[in-house]
Amino acid sequence: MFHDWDLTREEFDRLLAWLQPDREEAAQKYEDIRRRVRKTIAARGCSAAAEIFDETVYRIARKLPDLLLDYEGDPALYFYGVANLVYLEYLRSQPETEELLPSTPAPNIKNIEPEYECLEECLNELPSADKELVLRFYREEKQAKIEERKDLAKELGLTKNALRLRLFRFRQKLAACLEKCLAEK
Amino acid sequence: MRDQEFKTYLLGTTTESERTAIDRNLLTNEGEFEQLLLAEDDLIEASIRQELSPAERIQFEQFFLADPERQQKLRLALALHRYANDPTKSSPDNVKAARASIATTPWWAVFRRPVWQVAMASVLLVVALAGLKAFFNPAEPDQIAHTSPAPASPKATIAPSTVPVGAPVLSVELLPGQTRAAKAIPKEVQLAPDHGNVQFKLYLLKGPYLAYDVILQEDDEEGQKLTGQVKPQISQDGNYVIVTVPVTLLGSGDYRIKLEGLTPNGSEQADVFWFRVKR
Repeated sequence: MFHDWDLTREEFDRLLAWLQPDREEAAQKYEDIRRRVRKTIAARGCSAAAEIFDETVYRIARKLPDLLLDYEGDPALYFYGVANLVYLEYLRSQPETEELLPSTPAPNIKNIEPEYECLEECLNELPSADKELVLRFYREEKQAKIEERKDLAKELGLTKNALRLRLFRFRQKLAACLEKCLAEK
Repeated sequence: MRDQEFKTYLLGTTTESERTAIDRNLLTNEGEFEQLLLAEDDLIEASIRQELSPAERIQFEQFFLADPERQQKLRLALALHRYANDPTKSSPDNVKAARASIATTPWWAVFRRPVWQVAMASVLLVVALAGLKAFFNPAEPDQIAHTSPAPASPKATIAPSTVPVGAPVLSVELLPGQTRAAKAIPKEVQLAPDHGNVQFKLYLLKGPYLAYDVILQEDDEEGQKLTGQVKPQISQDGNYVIVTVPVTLLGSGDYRIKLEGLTPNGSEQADVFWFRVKR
């Protein structure tokens, strides 16, 4: 049900220009919308959120000239509306069993060797204090871990939530590094 | 409060209208989106630390992890846990803690728990069968029931009226779900001639409600409401109710137990549990 991505450069540029006149800002906005809309589709237990978003972009870009005449409002919500329709079409196109039971990802998940191999490299890109913080956060199990995390927050003069947020930022950095490393392997 | 809301959103247990409201907030509110990402990380952490109930674990495996991006997040978290607890990778001041943790149980050891053996066996069975289009496959499903002496005082039961005193009780644990809808073989309950009751431990996905009406239905028939109501039990492994059904009500065939949660305004459909009786 998904189209091949055969948008022309002009069509895609027009889409970006609709989001923001400045191209750089438009690209940032596009990325922002992509992440958010993708999450809302993934929140339906859907394994094809990325493909659904691509199809959404394709359809919006193709009908943009008409759209520009009619639509007023936040483009993100328009993307969301179209993504919902694409999602429903996707559901209808799936055999019943696949729709009701997403394939189990367990076998994939247990194989973390490639990530593990890249991790050291990525951790070493962090300043050593940050690396130490990440390792302390993930060290230990259960109650010991809870205590360790309390101590960690106290040592750094952070609230539990601030520590959580800081670790979140590190994870984002690590995830980006890991993605790059895995792609190169 | 917000964290709990996001947790149900991520596990797919919100209502349609709640989900739509959260969706729209995510699209227009920067702080909200970041909170969701944090909640995803928390959920992954909870899964690694074995803090999810059986029902949540099922949703986590089948629903949350359907998204490849989340699978990648989980792999990163698993790699971080492993790395942080590997004494050969840690700095000198980490060694003590790392050594202390090296003998700790890995996250997947959760599957060694009986409840998880039951839950995961069910999930794997359903997935495998669905994948192979095995609706017509005669392969033997796993037998998870076991015989035990009748409990002296079950916490919540729908008592049988015609069962001989002292007759063995068959204990069966069930998870709510889509087994039947997916056209896979439901959980099998093998009854022996001397069994008096079947005691079902039903793990709750929705609610919990204050109490439940219990309806036993054979295949697609209307079924019968069992007398009495049951109250949910709270445990670390998740909320559940105990329902005892006399074997006299169970011939060979497919059944479902429907729970209707009681609310101040009446009752509403809660969880449904499928099983197949063989005699």
